[in-house]
Amino acid sequence: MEDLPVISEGVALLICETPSLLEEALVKIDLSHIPHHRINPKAILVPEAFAETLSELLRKQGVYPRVEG
Amino acid sequence: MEDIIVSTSGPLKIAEIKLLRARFDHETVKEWVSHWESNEISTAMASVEKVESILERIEEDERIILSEFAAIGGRADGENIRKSLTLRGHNDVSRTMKSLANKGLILPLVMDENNISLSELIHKPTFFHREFAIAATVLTAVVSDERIGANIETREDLEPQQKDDAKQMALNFALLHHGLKSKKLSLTKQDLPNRRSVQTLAEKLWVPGSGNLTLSNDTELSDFSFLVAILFGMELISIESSEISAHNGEAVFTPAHFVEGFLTTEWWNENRRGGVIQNTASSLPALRRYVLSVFTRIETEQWISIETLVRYCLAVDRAFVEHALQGTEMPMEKFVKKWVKAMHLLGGIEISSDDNQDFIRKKVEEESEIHKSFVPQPNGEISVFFDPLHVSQFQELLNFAEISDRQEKTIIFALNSQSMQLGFGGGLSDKTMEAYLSEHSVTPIPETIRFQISDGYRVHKQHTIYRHGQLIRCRDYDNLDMALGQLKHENPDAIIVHLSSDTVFVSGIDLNGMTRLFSDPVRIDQELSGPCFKFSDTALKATYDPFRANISTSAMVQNITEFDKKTRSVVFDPDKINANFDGFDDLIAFLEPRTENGVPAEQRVAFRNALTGGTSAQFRDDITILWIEDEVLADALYELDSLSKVLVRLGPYAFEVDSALKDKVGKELKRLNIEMDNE
Repeated sequence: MEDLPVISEGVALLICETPSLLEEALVKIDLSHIPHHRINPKAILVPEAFAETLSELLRKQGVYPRVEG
Repeated sequence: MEDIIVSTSGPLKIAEIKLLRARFDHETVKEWVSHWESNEISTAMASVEKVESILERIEEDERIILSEFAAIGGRADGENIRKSLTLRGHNDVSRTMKSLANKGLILPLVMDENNISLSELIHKPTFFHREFAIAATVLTAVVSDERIGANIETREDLEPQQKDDAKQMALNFALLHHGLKSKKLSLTKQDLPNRRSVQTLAEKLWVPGSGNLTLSNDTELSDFSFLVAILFGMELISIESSEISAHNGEAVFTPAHFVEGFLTTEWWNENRRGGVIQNTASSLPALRRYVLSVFTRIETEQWISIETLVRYCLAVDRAFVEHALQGTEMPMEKFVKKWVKAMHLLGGIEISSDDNQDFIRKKVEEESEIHKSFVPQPNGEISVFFDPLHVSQFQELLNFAEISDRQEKTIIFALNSQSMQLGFGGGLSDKTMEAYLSEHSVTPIPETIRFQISDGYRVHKQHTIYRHGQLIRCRDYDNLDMALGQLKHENPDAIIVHLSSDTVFVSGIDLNGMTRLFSDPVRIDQELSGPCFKFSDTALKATYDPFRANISTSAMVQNITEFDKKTRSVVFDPDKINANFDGFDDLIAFLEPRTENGVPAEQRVAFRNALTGGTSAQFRDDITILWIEDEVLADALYELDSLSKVLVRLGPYAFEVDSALKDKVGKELKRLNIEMDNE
């Protein structure tokens, strides 16, 4: 398989200060309907169309993420 | 009768009056000349002496009308003249205008039908709805007179009431809009606000004169539904499936916007009691606008009584008023009183009273300066004083503080962790929050509040969502480093988040810009993954290249396989597949476009077997195959009742027969004269 650099477009990122904060957040919210990929212990990627849904889910659980970009 | 007037403005010249001769009837002619037969009326009208002698004999009311015509150049729409004089306090001038028309001092320029006489026209209800003109000589004779001024009963010695009402209302609307942004208001089947749903929304609302809204009676429910109706009129909220919610985005809360909302809203009915929130689509919004139009056209800046306003509304266009109120059983007095109350609450007019009579006045627009009105307290509360407050000030404060108490002259906002998080979530930072408080506070911000804000922001920063961006994956670290270095140089504001040694998230640059930063060609991954699986010979095992997978694929790989990073291989787990896919076909539809050269047959067998828990196979020796060489004959045989029950068709020529029934089938075929070759 080729080894070219790959740019994935239209991506949103949730990143937490520590892995445990992300664990805690993932326990609180149901992500079964959002395609997501845990790219490292502190971060998950979702398609950008789901960024608002993700932020809404977090807010409903009392977690108010900083939203940028 | 044809339109014979040539000029389009100004008074009528003698030649034009001559052409109008046929329109004058007996009575008119009598005024100007001695004999009906005389055709010299236009000559008479051209005579300054004759005009002056006639004008000496006219009434004061008639002079007012002529001076009004003269003031606007000698020609005008009759209805406009009538309305204008009415609004300047002169009694209904219809009769006087008709008298002037009879005397030929004002001349209707367009008649309705052929051969209609002036006396007939005068009795038509549409008489004033046409252009009238006066003769040039009449204009010269009256133009020297001063235009007769307004004659309206006014008061000058009154003081307006309750100047802060508009600020209280602005706060109400801002609070209600803010509340509806985060929580929908449900309505019951009777279109009443759901009690549980409305409670939190209403508890901080305050209606001047009534205090906090507890919604304990019909009046308070009605006040609440009024506020909601205005928000509908301002197009800040909408309803869907009996749930009212606010639109996102900024809203402006000024008296002018409230008044426009009030004039427009179809969700309020002056005749309704209680808290029903319903679209009535009636003629009342038009009547509200009409009352405002009459009020603004009354030529005075002084106080007028409500009775005067009612009288003028009826005098200007009674037919419209009656039509608009049709079916409501509401007298105009009641409607205007409600209009005055609402307009005053919304800051559209000023109100005063004397001797049990209410007076209103046009609002004098004062450019209110923004004064400091916040006093932050060490306990995290911010007292806001109404007197110096500008309505725009608390809108921002509502975004990060909650109202804990509301009085007539003061509101207490409280900073708490949830309200601050909401503010940070809405785009504020600790610095903007502090700067905003400093700008509007009379006293310095206490250290406790500064700490609360910075600590709140620290907590807020623990979770960050970057809404738009690109994921860059590059196995050549040097190449990636160089591209990112170039990116920082070209676009210092771009956000770069390092996720691993070969993966970064970038926001703030478009795809073309990003692609350009790499010296090598770049593969762009959009909707669908490229082929990222390659199956090996081992069942349910494949090599997997995460760099070629998009997020949905990566997410699914995490869900249904065990991934070995070292060997870049995945092993599919049938239980997890069953939990994530709707059967075999669904799985193959996912794998097929993501696999180099498609999923091999061996792997399909393996997947099918694994997903169904294993399928058994067997050799059967209790079955005989019947072979008919003629396909058409085979079709015909299969339609026979006697055979279709015992044959199972396997193909165009072949049938399966239970071996025990072989003889029976043979006999039937023999009966049909079909020879069996192998018997």
